[in-house]
Amino acid sequence: MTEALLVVDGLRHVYQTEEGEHVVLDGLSLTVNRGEFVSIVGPSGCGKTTLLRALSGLLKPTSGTVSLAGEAINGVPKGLAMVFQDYRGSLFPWRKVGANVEFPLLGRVGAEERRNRVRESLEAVGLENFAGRYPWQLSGGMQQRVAIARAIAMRPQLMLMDEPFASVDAQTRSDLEDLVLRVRELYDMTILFVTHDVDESVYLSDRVLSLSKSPTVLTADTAVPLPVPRDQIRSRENPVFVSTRSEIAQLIRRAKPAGLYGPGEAIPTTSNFAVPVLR
Amino acid sequence: MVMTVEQKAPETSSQQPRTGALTKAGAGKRTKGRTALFGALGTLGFLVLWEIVVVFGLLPRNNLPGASETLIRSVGLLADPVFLGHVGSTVAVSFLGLGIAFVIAVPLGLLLGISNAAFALASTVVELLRPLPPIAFVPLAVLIAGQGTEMKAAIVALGCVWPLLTNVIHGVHETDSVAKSTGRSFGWSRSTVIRRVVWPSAVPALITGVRITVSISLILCVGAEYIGGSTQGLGSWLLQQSMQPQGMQAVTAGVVIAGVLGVLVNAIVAGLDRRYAAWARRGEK
Repeated sequence: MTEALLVVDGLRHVYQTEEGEHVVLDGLSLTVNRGEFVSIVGPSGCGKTTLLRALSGLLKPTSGTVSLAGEAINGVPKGLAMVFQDYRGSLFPWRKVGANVEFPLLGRVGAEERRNRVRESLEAVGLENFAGRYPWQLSGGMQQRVAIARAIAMRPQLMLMDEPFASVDAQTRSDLEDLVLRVRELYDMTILFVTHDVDESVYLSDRVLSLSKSPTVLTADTAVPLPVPRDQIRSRENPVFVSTRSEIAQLIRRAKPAGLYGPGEAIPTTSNFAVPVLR
Repeated sequence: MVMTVEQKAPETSSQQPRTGALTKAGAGKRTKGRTALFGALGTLGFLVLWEIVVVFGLLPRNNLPGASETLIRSVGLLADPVFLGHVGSTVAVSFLGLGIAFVIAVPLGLLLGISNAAFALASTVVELLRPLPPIAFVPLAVLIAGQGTEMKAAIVALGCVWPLLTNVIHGVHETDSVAKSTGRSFGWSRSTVIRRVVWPSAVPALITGVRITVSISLILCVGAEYIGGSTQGLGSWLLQQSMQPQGMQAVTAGVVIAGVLGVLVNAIVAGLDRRYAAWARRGEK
Protein backbone atom coordinates (compact mmCIF):
# COMPACT_ATOMS: atom_id res chain seq x y z
CA MET A 1 0.00 0.00 0.00
CA THR A 2 1.60 3.22 -1.10
CA GLU A 3 0.16 6.46 0.07
CA ALA A 4 1.29 9.74 -1.46
CA LEU A 5 2.61 12.07 1.23
CA LEU A 6 4.06 14.91 -0.81
CA VAL A 7 2.48 15.79 -4.13
CA VAL A 8 3.98 18.52 -6.31
CA ASP A 9 1.97 19.46 -9.36
CA GLY A 10 3.10 21.78 -12.16
CA LEU A 11 5.47 23.79 -9.97
CA ARG A 12 6.75 26.84 -11.81
CA HIS A 13 8.83 29.69 -10.49
CA VAL A 14 9.94 32.81 -12.28
CA TYR A 15 12.36 35.39 -10.90
CA GLN A 16 12.09 38.95 -12.15
CA THR A 17 15.55 40.18 -13.06
CA GLU A 18 16.84 43.32 -14.78
CA GLU A 19 17.14 41.42 -18.06
CA GLY A 20 13.56 40.23 -17.80
CA GLU A 21 11.99 37.02 -16.57
CA HIS A 22 14.19 34.15 -15.50
CA VAL A 23 12.36 30.83 -15.34
CA VAL A 24 13.92 28.63 -12.66
CA LEU A 25 11.35 25.88 -12.31
CA ASP A 26 9.24 25.06 -15.34
CA GLY A 27 6.35 22.82 -14.44
CA LEU A 28 7.81 20.25 -12.04
CA SER A 29 5.60 17.44 -10.86
CA LEU A 30 6.65 14.75 -8.44
CA THR A 31 5.31 12.52 -5.69
CA VAL A 32 6.91 11.17 -2.54
CA ASN A 33 5.12 8.27 -0.90
CA ARG A 34 4.90 7.78 2.85
CA GLY A 35 7.97 5.95 4.16
CA GLU A 36 10.02 6.53 1.03
CA PHE A 37 13.55 7.88 0.78
CA VAL A 38 13.72 9.99 -2.37
CA SER A 39 16.74 11.94 -3.59
CA ILE A 40 16.83 14.83 -6.00
CA VAL A 41 19.98 15.28 -8.07
CA GLY A 42 20.81 17.66 -10.84
CA PRO A 43 23.57 19.68 -12.47
CA SER A 44 24.78 22.70 -10.54
CA GLY A 45 22.53 25.72 -10.76
CA CYS A 46 19.48 23.62 -11.59
CA GLY A 47 17.17 25.28 -9.11
CA LYS A 48 17.36 22.59 -6.41
CA THR A 49 17.44 25.22 -3.71
CA THR A 50 14.48 27.09 -5.19
CA LEU A 51 12.56 23.81 -5.35
CA LEU A 52 13.31 23.00 -1.73
CA ARG A 53 12.38 26.48 -0.56
CA ALA A 54 9.08 26.18 -2.40
CA LEU A 55 8.44 22.74 -0.87
CA SER A 56 9.18 23.99 2.62
CA GLY A 57 6.89 26.98 2.21
CA LEU A 58 9.74 29.51 2.55
CA LEU A 59 9.10 30.69 -1.00
CA LYS A 60 5.82 31.17 -2.79
CA PRO A 61 6.05 29.67 -6.28
CA THR A 62 4.71 31.58 -9.28
CA SER A 63 2.28 28.78 -10.07
CA GLY A 64 1.62 25.13 -9.34
CA THR A 65 0.66 23.41 -6.13
CA VAL A 66 2.42 21.52 -3.37
CA SER A 67 0.44 19.42 -0.95
CA LEU A 68 1.49 17.49 2.10
CA ALA A 69 -0.72 14.64 3.31
CA GLY A 70 -3.55 15.93 1.11
CA GLU A 71 -3.38 19.52 2.34
CA ALA A 72 -2.23 22.28 0.03
CA ILE A 73 0.88 24.04 1.30
CA ASN A 74 0.46 27.75 1.73
CA GLY A 75 3.18 29.05 3.98
CA VAL A 76 5.29 26.75 6.12
CA PRO A 77 3.35 23.50 6.68
CA LYS A 78 3.10 21.58 9.91
CA GLY A 79 4.73 18.18 9.88
CA LEU A 80 7.79 19.24 7.94
CA ALA A 81 11.34 19.53 9.22
CA MET A 82 14.24 20.94 7.30
CA VAL A 83 17.94 20.15 7.62
CA PHE A 84 20.14 22.79 6.00
CA GLN A 85 23.58 22.43 4.46
CA ASP A 86 24.91 25.28 6.60
CA TYR A 87 24.66 23.72 10.06
CA ARG A 88 26.70 26.57 11.51
CA GLY A 89 24.06 29.10 10.52
CA SER A 90 21.19 26.76 11.26
CA LEU A 91 22.10 26.04 14.89
CA PHE A 92 21.61 28.97 17.23
CA PRO A 93 24.99 29.71 18.83
CA TRP A 94 23.55 31.30 21.96
CA ARG A 95 21.65 28.13 22.86
CA LYS A 96 23.26 24.94 24.06
CA VAL A 97 22.82 21.72 22.10
CA GLY A 98 19.83 20.53 24.17
CA ALA A 99 18.20 23.95 23.97
CA ASN A 100 18.70 23.99 20.20
CA VAL A 101 16.91 20.66 19.84
CA GLU A 102 14.13 21.90 22.11
CA PHE A 103 13.76 25.27 20.35
CA PRO A 104 11.11 24.39 17.71
CA LEU A 105 9.01 22.66 20.37
CA LEU A 106 8.67 25.72 22.62
CA GLY A 107 5.08 26.74 23.13
CA ARG A 108 3.81 23.69 21.25
CA VAL A 109 4.74 20.73 23.40
CA GLY A 110 4.60 20.42 27.21
CA ALA A 111 7.80 20.74 29.24
CA GLU A 112 8.06 17.08 30.18
CA GLU A 113 7.41 15.87 26.65
CA ARG A 114 10.03 18.35 25.44
CA ARG A 115 12.61 16.94 27.85
CA ASN A 116 11.84 13.39 26.73
CA ARG A 117 12.04 14.24 23.05
CA VAL A 118 15.33 16.10 23.46
CA ARG A 119 16.90 13.17 25.29
CA GLU A 120 15.55 10.61 22.86
CA SER A 121 16.54 12.57 19.74
CA LEU A 122 20.05 13.21 21.00
CA GLU A 123 20.34 9.50 21.83
CA ALA A 124 19.26 8.63 18.31
CA VAL A 125 22.21 10.60 16.89
CA GLY A 126 24.63 9.49 19.64
CA LEU A 127 25.02 12.90 21.27
CA GLU A 128 23.22 12.32 24.58
CA ASN A 129 26.32 13.47 26.50
CA PHE A 130 26.61 16.76 24.65
CA ALA A 131 23.31 18.47 25.55
CA GLY A 132 25.13 20.96 27.78
CA ARG A 133 27.70 22.00 25.19
CA TYR A 134 27.39 24.88 22.79
CA PRO A 135 27.10 23.77 19.15
CA TRP A 136 30.22 25.71 18.19
CA GLN A 137 32.22 23.63 20.65
CA LEU A 138 31.50 20.55 18.50
CA SER A 139 33.00 19.37 15.22
CA GLY A 140 31.14 19.97 11.94
CA GLY A 141 29.81 16.42 11.72
CA MET A 142 28.55 16.57 15.31
CA GLN A 143 26.84 19.89 14.62
CA GLN A 144 24.98 18.40 11.68
CA ARG A 145 23.92 15.51 13.94
CA VAL A 146 22.46 18.09 16.33
CA ALA A 147 20.50 19.58 13.42
CA ILE A 148 19.24 16.09 12.54
CA ALA A 149 18.28 15.46 16.17
CA ARG A 150 16.32 18.71 16.15
CA ALA A 151 14.47 17.61 13.01
CA ILE A 152 13.68 14.25 14.66
CA ALA A 153 12.39 15.97 17.79
CA MET A 154 9.83 17.81 15.65
CA ARG A 155 8.31 14.41 14.75
CA PRO A 156 7.87 15.45 11.12
CA GLN A 157 5.86 13.59 8.52
CA LEU A 158 8.49 14.62 5.99
CA MET A 159 12.12 15.50 6.51
CA LEU A 160 13.64 17.76 3.86
CA MET A 161 17.42 17.68 3.65
CA ASP A 162 19.23 20.29 1.57
CA GLU A 163 22.71 18.96 0.67
CA PRO A 164 23.18 18.23 4.36
CA PHE A 165 26.60 16.60 4.07
CA ALA A 166 28.20 18.89 1.49
CA SER A 167 30.34 20.66 4.08
CA VAL A 168 31.83 17.70 5.95
CA ASP A 169 34.79 15.47 5.20
CA ALA A 170 34.40 12.11 3.43
CA GLN A 171 34.65 9.86 6.49
CA THR A 172 32.16 11.95 8.46
CA ARG A 173 29.95 11.94 5.43
CA SER A 174 29.70 8.12 5.30
CA ASP A 175 28.98 8.05 9.03
CA LEU A 176 26.22 10.63 8.64
CA GLU A 177 24.71 8.77 5.67
CA ASP A 178 24.41 5.63 7.77
CA LEU A 179 23.07 7.67 10.65
CA VAL A 180 20.29 9.02 8.45
CA LEU A 181 19.42 5.51 7.26
CA ARG A 182 19.26 4.31 10.89
CA VAL A 183 17.14 7.22 11.97
CA ARG A 184 14.81 6.65 9.07
CA GLU A 185 14.42 2.99 10.06
CA LEU A 186 13.89 3.89 13.71
CA TYR A 187 11.21 6.52 13.13
CA ASP A 188 9.77 5.16 9.89
CA MET A 189 10.45 8.54 8.35
CA THR A 190 9.83 9.89 4.89
CA ILE A 191 12.84 11.76 3.57
CA LEU A 192 13.37 14.01 0.56
CA PHE A 193 17.09 14.46 0.12
CA VAL A 194 18.70 16.99 -2.18
CA THR A 195 22.30 16.34 -3.16
CA HIS A 196 24.74 16.95 -5.97
CA ASP A 197 26.49 13.65 -5.25
CA VAL A 198 25.23 10.81 -7.45
CA ASP A 199 26.84 8.05 -5.34
CA GLU A 200 25.24 9.40 -2.22
CA SER A 201 21.80 9.59 -3.83
CA VAL A 202 21.99 5.97 -5.02
CA TYR A 203 23.37 4.68 -1.72
CA LEU A 204 20.63 6.29 0.36
CA SER A 205 17.51 6.23 -1.77
CA ASP A 206 14.61 4.11 -2.90
CA ARG A 207 14.18 6.46 -5.86
CA VAL A 208 16.29 9.15 -7.46
CA LEU A 209 14.71 12.08 -9.30
CA SER A 210 17.00 13.85 -11.75
CA LEU A 211 16.58 17.39 -12.94
CA SER A 212 17.52 19.30 -16.07
CA LYS A 213 19.35 22.61 -16.17
CA SER A 214 17.15 25.61 -15.59
CA PRO A 215 14.43 26.17 -16.70
CA THR A 216 14.20 23.03 -14.66
CA VAL A 217 12.05 20.02 -15.45
CA LEU A 218 12.13 16.45 -14.18
CA THR A 219 14.23 14.29 -16.55
CA ALA A 220 13.88 10.87 -14.95
CA ASP A 221 12.52 8.97 -11.99
CA THR A 222 14.93 6.09 -11.35
CA ALA A 223 14.16 3.30 -8.90
CA VAL A 224 17.12 1.94 -6.92
CA PRO A 225 16.54 -1.83 -6.57
CA LEU A 226 19.40 -2.17 -4.11
CA PRO A 227 18.81 -4.54 -1.18
CA VAL A 228 18.42 -3.14 2.33
CA PRO A 229 20.03 -2.66 4.81
CA ARG A 230 22.63 -0.79 2.85
CA ASP A 231 26.30 -1.15 3.62
CA GLN A 232 28.98 1.38 2.72
CA ILE A 233 31.26 -1.26 1.20
CA ARG A 234 29.03 -4.10 -0.01
CA SER A 235 26.23 -1.94 -1.40
CA ARG A 236 28.70 0.09 -3.42
CA GLU A 237 30.19 -3.10 -4.93
CA ASN A 238 26.78 -4.39 -5.93
CA PRO A 239 26.31 -4.41 -9.75
CA VAL A 240 22.92 -2.77 -9.22
CA PHE A 241 24.62 0.16 -7.48
CA VAL A 242 27.19 0.46 -10.25
CA SER A 243 24.66 0.37 -13.07
CA THR A 244 22.21 2.72 -11.34
CA ARG A 245 24.89 5.23 -10.52
CA SER A 246 26.15 5.34 -14.11
CA GLU A 247 22.60 5.66 -15.40
CA ILE A 248 22.03 8.70 -13.20
CA ALA A 249 25.46 10.16 -13.91
CA GLN A 250 24.57 9.92 -17.62
CA LEU A 251 21.30 11.75 -16.98
CA ILE A 252 23.16 14.58 -15.29
CA ARG A 253 25.76 14.80 -18.03
CA ARG A 254 23.03 14.91 -20.67
CA ALA A 255 21.03 17.55 -18.81
CA LYS A 256 20.32 20.66 -20.83
CA PRO A 257 17.96 23.55 -20.19
CA ALA A 258 14.42 22.15 -19.93
CA GLY A 259 15.39 18.63 -20.99
CA LEU A 260 18.05 16.12 -22.04
CA TYR A 261 20.43 15.87 -24.95
CA GLY A 262 19.54 12.85 -27.09
CA PRO A 263 21.71 9.69 -26.87
CA GLY A 264 23.50 10.43 -30.15
CA GLU A 265 23.62 14.19 -29.69
CA ALA A 266 26.96 15.92 -29.13
CA ILE A 267 27.12 17.44 -25.68
CA PRO A 268 28.80 20.83 -25.76
CA THR A 269 31.72 20.97 -23.38
CA THR A 270 31.34 23.83 -21.02
CA SER A 271 34.15 25.09 -18.91
CA ASN A 272 33.98 27.69 -16.23
CA PHE A 273 37.74 28.07 -16.22
CA ALA A 274 39.27 30.64 -18.49
CA VAL A 275 42.20 29.20 -20.42
CA PRO A 276 45.11 31.62 -20.32
CA VAL A 277 46.21 32.64 -23.79
CA LEU A 278 49.94 33.07 -24.26
CA ARG A 279 50.92 35.97 -26.42
CA MET B 1 30.66 54.62 15.19
CA VAL B 2 29.86 51.13 14.04
CA MET B 3 31.81 48.48 15.80
CA THR B 4 32.35 45.29 13.87
CA VAL B 5 31.28 42.36 15.93
CA GLU B 6 32.83 39.04 15.08
CA GLN B 7 29.67 37.01 14.59
CA LYS B 8 30.94 34.17 12.47
CA ALA B 9 33.60 31.95 13.87
CA PRO B 10 36.36 30.96 11.52
CA GLU B 11 36.42 27.35 10.40
CA THR B 12 36.50 25.24 13.51
CA SER B 13 36.70 21.64 12.43
CA SER B 14 38.28 20.33 15.59
CA GLN B 15 37.58 16.63 15.83
CA GLN B 16 38.32 16.63 19.53
CA PRO B 17 36.37 19.45 21.08
CA ARG B 18 37.24 18.32 24.60
CA THR B 19 40.97 18.78 24.21
CA GLY B 20 40.46 21.93 22.19
CA ALA B 21 38.33 23.54 24.88
CA LEU B 22 40.81 22.66 27.63
CA THR B 23 43.78 24.12 25.78
CA LYS B 24 41.87 27.29 25.13
CA ALA B 25 40.80 27.69 28.76
CA GLY B 26 44.37 27.14 29.97
CA ALA B 27 45.79 29.62 27.50
CA GLY B 28 43.08 32.12 28.53
CA LYS B 29 44.12 31.93 32.18
CA ARG B 30 47.78 32.48 31.39
CA THR B 31 47.00 35.43 29.12
CA LYS B 32 44.84 36.94 31.83
CA GLY B 33 47.65 36.78 34.40
CA ARG B 34 50.07 38.38 31.96
CA THR B 35 47.61 41.13 31.07
CA ALA B 36 47.10 41.98 34.75
CA LEU B 37 50.87 42.02 35.43
CA PHE B 38 51.68 44.15 32.39
CA GLY B 39 48.81 46.50 33.20
CA ALA B 40 50.17 47.04 36.72
CA LEU B 41 53.69 47.60 35.37
CA GLY B 42 52.42 50.11 32.81
CA THR B 43 50.50 52.06 35.44
CA LEU B 44 53.51 52.13 37.74
CA GLY B 45 55.73 53.33 34.89
CA PHE B 46 53.28 56.12 34.10
CA LEU B 47 53.21 57.27 37.74
CA VAL B 48 57.03 57.29 37.90
CA LEU B 49 57.19 59.32 34.68
CA TRP B 50 54.65 61.77 36.08
CA GLU B 51 56.64 62.17 39.29
CA ILE B 52 59.87 62.76 37.33
CA VAL B 53 58.22 65.43 35.15
CA VAL B 54 57.03 67.28 38.26
CA VAL B 55 60.16 66.85 40.44
CA PHE B 56 62.52 68.04 37.70
CA GLY B 57 60.15 70.81 36.57
CA LEU B 58 60.01 69.62 32.95
CA LEU B 59 56.77 71.49 32.17
CA PRO B 60 56.96 75.20 31.15
CA ARG B 61 55.03 76.36 34.20
CA ASN B 62 55.14 73.86 36.95
CA ASN B 63 51.59 73.90 38.27
CA LEU B 64 51.07 70.14 38.02
CA PRO B 65 50.98 68.42 41.40
CA GLY B 66 53.17 65.33 41.67
CA ALA B 67 51.90 61.77 41.39
CA SER B 68 52.60 60.88 45.00
CA GLU B 69 50.82 63.89 46.54
CA THR B 70 47.93 63.43 44.10
CA LEU B 71 47.49 59.79 45.10
CA ILE B 72 47.60 60.67 48.78
CA ARG B 73 45.01 63.37 48.21
CA SER B 74 42.85 60.90 46.22
CA VAL B 75 42.78 58.50 49.13
CA GLY B 76 41.80 61.40 51.37
CA LEU B 77 38.98 62.34 48.98
CA LEU B 78 37.55 58.83 49.18
CA ALA B 79 36.65 59.62 52.80
CA ASP B 80 35.21 63.07 51.99
CA PRO B 81 31.39 62.89 52.04
CA VAL B 82 30.97 66.11 50.04
CA PHE B 83 33.18 64.82 47.26
CA LEU B 84 31.50 61.41 47.29
CA GLY B 85 28.11 63.10 47.06
CA HIS B 86 29.19 64.86 43.88
CA VAL B 87 30.58 61.64 42.41
CA GLY B 88 27.35 59.83 43.26
CA SER B 89 25.35 62.53 41.53
CA THR B 90 27.45 62.26 38.36
CA VAL B 91 27.15 58.47 38.27
CA ALA B 92 23.38 58.62 38.86
CA VAL B 93 22.78 61.25 36.16
CA SER B 94 25.06 59.43 33.68
CA PHE B 95 23.09 56.25 34.16
CA LEU B 96 19.80 58.09 33.86
CA GLY B 97 20.93 59.59 30.55
CA LEU B 98 22.25 56.27 29.35
CA GLY B 99 18.98 54.63 30.34
CA ILE B 100 17.00 57.16 28.33
CA ALA B 101 19.26 56.57 25.32
CA PHE B 102 18.83 52.80 25.74
CA VAL B 103 15.04 53.00 25.87
CA ILE B 104 15.03 55.07 22.67
CA ALA B 105 17.80 53.27 20.77
CA VAL B 106 16.84 49.63 21.27
CA PRO B 107 13.30 49.66 19.83
CA LEU B 108 14.28 52.19 17.17
CA GLY B 109 17.38 50.17 16.24
CA LEU B 110 15.31 46.99 15.94
CA LEU B 111 12.81 48.79 13.71
CA LEU B 112 15.47 50.37 11.49
CA GLY B 113 17.41 47.10 11.34
CA ILE B 114 14.40 45.03 10.34
CA SER B 115 12.58 47.40 8.00
CA ASN B 116 14.57 48.48 4.96
CA ALA B 117 12.02 51.21 4.22
CA ALA B 118 12.36 52.69 7.71
CA PHE B 119 16.14 52.46 7.42
CA ALA B 120 16.12 54.31 4.08
CA LEU B 121 13.85 57.00 5.52
CA ALA B 122 15.90 57.55 8.65
CA SER B 123 19.50 56.90 7.68
CA THR B 124 20.23 60.35 6.20
CA VAL B 125 18.79 62.12 9.21
CA VAL B 126 20.77 59.86 11.54
CA GLU B 127 23.99 60.46 9.59
CA LEU B 128 23.40 64.21 9.80
CA LEU B 129 22.70 64.25 13.54
CA ARG B 130 25.28 61.71 14.64
CA PRO B 131 28.50 63.73 14.24
CA LEU B 132 27.18 66.79 16.10
CA PRO B 133 29.07 67.22 19.41
CA PRO B 134 26.52 66.87 22.23
CA ILE B 135 28.42 69.38 24.38
CA ALA B 136 27.60 72.05 21.78
CA PHE B 137 23.95 71.66 22.77
CA VAL B 138 24.58 72.52 26.42
CA PRO B 139 23.65 76.22 26.14
CA LEU B 140 20.43 75.31 24.33
CA ALA B 141 19.70 72.55 26.82
CA VAL B 142 20.24 74.99 29.72
CA LEU B 143 17.66 77.35 28.21
CA ILE B 144 15.16 74.56 27.75
CA ALA B 145 15.76 72.38 30.80
CA GLY B 146 17.69 74.50 33.30
CA GLN B 147 21.00 73.62 34.95
CA GLY B 148 19.95 70.50 36.85
CA THR B 149 19.49 66.81 36.28
CA GLU B 150 17.15 67.18 33.30
CA MET B 151 19.68 69.16 31.28
CA LYS B 152 22.58 66.85 32.09
CA ALA B 153 20.62 63.67 31.43
CA ALA B 154 19.44 65.09 28.10
CA ILE B 155 23.00 65.84 27.00
CA VAL B 156 24.16 62.36 28.03
CA ALA B 157 21.23 60.74 26.24
CA LEU B 158 21.90 62.78 23.11
CA GLY B 159 25.49 61.60 22.98
CA CYS B 160 24.76 57.96 23.84
CA VAL B 161 21.78 57.32 21.61
CA TRP B 162 23.77 57.19 18.34
CA PRO B 163 26.41 54.59 19.23
CA LEU B 164 23.68 52.43 20.76
CA LEU B 165 21.41 52.87 17.76
CA THR B 166 24.05 52.07 15.14
CA ASN B 167 25.20 49.02 17.10
CA VAL B 168 21.68 47.64 17.41
CA ILE B 169 21.06 48.17 13.69
CA HIS B 170 24.36 46.51 12.90
CA GLY B 171 23.53 43.59 15.19
CA VAL B 172 20.17 43.08 13.48
CA HIS B 173 21.79 43.23 10.03
CA GLU B 174 24.37 40.66 11.12
CA THR B 175 21.69 38.07 11.90
CA ASP B 176 22.51 34.93 9.95
CA SER B 177 20.07 34.47 7.07
CA VAL B 178 20.14 30.69 7.48
CA ALA B 179 19.23 31.18 11.16
CA LYS B 180 16.21 33.21 10.07
CA SER B 181 15.22 30.61 7.47
CA THR B 182 15.59 27.92 10.13
CA GLY B 183 13.25 29.83 12.43
CA ARG B 184 10.73 30.21 9.63
CA SER B 185 11.04 26.50 8.76
CA PHE B 186 9.87 25.80 12.33
CA GLY B 187 6.63 27.46 11.26
CA TRP B 188 7.33 30.58 13.34
CA SER B 189 5.66 33.86 12.48
CA ARG B 190 7.67 36.93 11.56
CA SER B 191 7.34 38.37 15.06
CA THR B 192 8.43 35.08 16.66
CA VAL B 193 11.49 34.96 14.40
CA ILE B 194 12.33 38.52 15.48
CA ARG B 195 11.89 37.65 19.15
CA ARG B 196 13.68 34.31 19.11
CA VAL B 197 16.31 34.76 16.39
CA VAL B 198 16.94 38.39 15.46
CA TRP B 199 16.91 39.85 18.97
CA PRO B 200 19.35 37.32 20.50
CA SER B 201 21.62 37.77 17.45
CA ALA B 202 21.71 41.53 18.07
CA VAL B 203 22.43 41.36 21.82
CA PRO B 204 26.25 41.12 21.53
CA ALA B 205 26.37 44.22 19.33
CA LEU B 206 24.06 45.98 21.81
CA ILE B 207 26.43 45.11 24.67
CA THR B 208 29.33 46.47 22.62
CA GLY B 209 27.29 49.67 22.27
CA VAL B 210 26.70 49.81 26.03
CA ARG B 211 30.40 49.30 26.61
CA ILE B 212 31.25 52.27 24.43
CA THR B 213 28.52 54.49 25.85
CA VAL B 214 29.16 54.00 29.59
CA SER B 215 32.44 55.88 29.20
CA ILE B 216 30.83 58.44 26.90
CA SER B 217 28.04 59.00 29.43
CA LEU B 218 30.49 59.84 32.25
CA ILE B 219 32.52 62.15 30.00
CA LEU B 220 29.43 63.98 28.76
CA CYS B 221 27.95 64.30 32.23
CA VAL B 222 31.11 65.88 33.64
CA GLY B 223 31.33 68.15 30.60
CA ALA B 224 27.72 69.26 30.96
CA GLU B 225 28.30 69.98 34.67
CA TYR B 226 31.35 72.07 33.83
CA ILE B 227 29.82 74.11 31.04
CA GLY B 228 26.22 74.16 32.17
CA GLY B 229 27.03 75.75 35.53
CA SER B 230 25.55 72.92 37.48
CA THR B 231 25.78 72.96 41.28
CA GLN B 232 25.96 69.18 41.64
CA GLY B 233 28.33 66.57 40.29
CA LEU B 234 32.00 65.87 39.75
CA GLY B 235 32.31 68.50 37.01
CA SER B 236 31.03 71.34 39.18
CA TRP B 237 33.18 70.15 42.11
CA LEU B 238 36.28 70.20 39.87
CA LEU B 239 35.38 73.69 38.66
CA GLN B 240 35.00 74.98 42.24
CA GLN B 241 38.28 73.39 43.34
CA SER B 242 40.20 74.80 40.39
CA MET B 243 39.35 78.32 41.49
CA GLN B 244 40.74 77.85 45.00
CA PRO B 245 44.34 78.35 46.10
CA GLN B 246 46.24 75.04 45.83
CA GLY B 247 43.15 73.70 44.11
CA MET B 248 45.04 71.92 41.33
CA GLN B 249 45.97 69.13 43.72
CA ALA B 250 42.29 68.47 44.36
CA VAL B 251 41.52 68.64 40.64
CA THR B 252 44.14 66.05 39.65
CA ALA B 253 43.10 63.85 42.57
CA GLY B 254 39.47 64.10 41.44
CA VAL B 255 40.43 63.24 37.86
CA VAL B 256 42.35 60.17 39.04
CA ILE B 257 39.28 58.99 40.93
CA ALA B 258 37.09 59.63 37.89
CA GLY B 259 39.51 57.48 35.88
CA VAL B 260 39.31 54.64 38.38
CA LEU B 261 35.53 54.95 38.31
CA GLY B 262 35.61 54.54 34.54
CA VAL B 263 37.73 51.40 34.84
CA LEU B 264 35.31 49.92 37.41
CA VAL B 265 32.23 50.61 35.30
CA ASN B 266 33.93 49.14 32.26
CA ALA B 267 34.76 45.98 34.21
CA ILE B 268 31.09 45.57 35.12
CA VAL B 269 30.02 45.83 31.48
CA ALA B 270 32.79 43.43 30.45
CA GLY B 271 31.25 40.98 32.92
CA LEU B 272 27.86 41.44 31.24
CA ASP B 273 29.55 40.75 27.92
CA ARG B 274 31.06 37.50 29.17
CA ARG B 275 27.71 36.42 30.55
CA TYR B 276 25.48 37.29 27.56
CA ALA B 277 27.72 37.53 24.50
CA ALA B 278 30.35 34.83 25.00
CA TRP B 279 28.95 32.91 22.04
CA ALA B 280 29.57 35.82 19.69
CA ARG B 281 33.18 36.28 20.81
CA ARG B 282 34.07 32.61 20.36
CA GLY B 283 36.24 33.34 17.35
CA GLU B 284 38.25 36.01 19.13
CA LYS B 285 41.42 35.29 21.01
